[in-house]
Amino acid sequence: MAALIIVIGSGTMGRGIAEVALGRGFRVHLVDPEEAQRALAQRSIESGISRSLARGLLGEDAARGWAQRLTLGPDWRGLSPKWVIEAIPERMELKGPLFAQLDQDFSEAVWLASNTSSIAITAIQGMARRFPHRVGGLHFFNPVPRMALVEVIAGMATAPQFIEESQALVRQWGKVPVAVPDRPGFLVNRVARPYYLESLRMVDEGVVGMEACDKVFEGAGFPMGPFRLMDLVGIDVNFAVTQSVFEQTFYDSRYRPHDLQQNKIRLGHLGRKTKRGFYVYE
Amino acid sequence: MSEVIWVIGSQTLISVVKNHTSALVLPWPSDQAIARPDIVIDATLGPLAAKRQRLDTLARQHSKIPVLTASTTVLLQHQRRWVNGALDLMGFDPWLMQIDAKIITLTGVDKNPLALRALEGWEWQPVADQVGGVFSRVIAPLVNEAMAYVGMGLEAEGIDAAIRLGLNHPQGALEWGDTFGLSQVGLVLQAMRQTMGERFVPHPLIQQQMAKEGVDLNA
Repeated sequence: MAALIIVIGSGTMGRGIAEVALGRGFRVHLVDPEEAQRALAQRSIESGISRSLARGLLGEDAARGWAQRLTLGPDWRGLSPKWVIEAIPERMELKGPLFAQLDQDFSEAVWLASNTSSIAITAIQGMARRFPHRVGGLHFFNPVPRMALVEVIAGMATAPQFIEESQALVRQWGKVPVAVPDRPGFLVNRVARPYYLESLRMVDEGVVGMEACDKVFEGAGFPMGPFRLMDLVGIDVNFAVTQSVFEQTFYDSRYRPHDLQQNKIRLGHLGRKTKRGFYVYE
Repeated sequence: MSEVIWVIGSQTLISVVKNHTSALVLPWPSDQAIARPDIVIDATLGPLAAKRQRLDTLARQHSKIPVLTASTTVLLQHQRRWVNGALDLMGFDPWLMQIDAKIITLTGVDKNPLALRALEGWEWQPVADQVGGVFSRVIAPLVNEAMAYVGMGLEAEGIDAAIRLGLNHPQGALEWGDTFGLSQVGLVLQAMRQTMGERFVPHPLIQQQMAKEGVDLNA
């Protein structure tokens, strides 16, 4: 029988991870306390898998019977998974108690992974005092079914076997694992910061206009200029990552958030999702 | 008779310029570069003393010719002062030209449209005269950030794969470093550090590479 994965959190990331696992023949139990959210996630997974099958992105064999391999519920009682992957909101006050609970509820043989994009894995595993070595990070990128990269992160106490098992799992899911250190922003979100921050600073200093800045980078082969990309990701989301990296690096000036972003958030101009960010979307 | 463009820069950049123009493109210095140039492209970032000396020489030998000069490590304003009006200088970001980007950023366009003749087939975007320009100001710190992970023992392939796959950048951060040369990245970072602060301090591995290549950080 295919291995069981418990995914906790049925938002964009959680349902994306579930969709990928189901499409590769795994059994998935998707956890969310809200029934309406679970129903929404189920419909989203269904349409995502249908789309991938229609486009030939998924093999018929692996995806066959996915609906029978998916269960949804408010908790994980009575289940024996191989993996538990957490994908709840990016707040330590939520993740910490959850991992303390998971550590109590599951045996040492069960791997516990967080899909955090910015919280230190060592901080999370510090909440799982019984078996901290089976806790690590699996950072998927949005949209999960389309983005190939998964950052695999070992905290200070993570067992080397976590990395090996994670890499094998991620490869089985058709993705590319890259082991990265447990540093603020891990690798991708850290290295990406100058793309946004220096662009914000340049526009603020009058070096270049916002649209011209986007055009320069798009003309150099980037699929989206920094401002168009911040609008797509969400200015609030991008700002939160910067803020988190800034705080966790003990306020290193390289990562100082910019008030141009903060003011957009104050106005509710968060990007495409609010139809207004750095650009206006009709 | 076709125009003559002298290029002071890498072989890659010279090839890119050749593909863009019907003019005769010659590297400088070379035996062929004896005829008076119509335009000069100086893509060098440093050392600044050498750059200044070269502009002095050009000014003495070919007064008033249009020169497109890299202005990402030293302001165009300074360079204009160096030659005291003896050359028609316009600033540009040579990294955009080297990768054959669609758009080249320029400074001082209003004062010297003559050098625009060297930019056939390119769109150009005027930007303020600021060290780092636009593209280099972002790319150099990206490379600097990635070098920190090399220092932590990660393999270059993994770092670049993460950048390409996680961010959809056209190249990995370390590939940018290879494209432009780590010591050149160091020169841009150091120039920005002196102008805009310590956030641009070049990573020790970049400084080591500069030392290995004999490129003085503070030249």
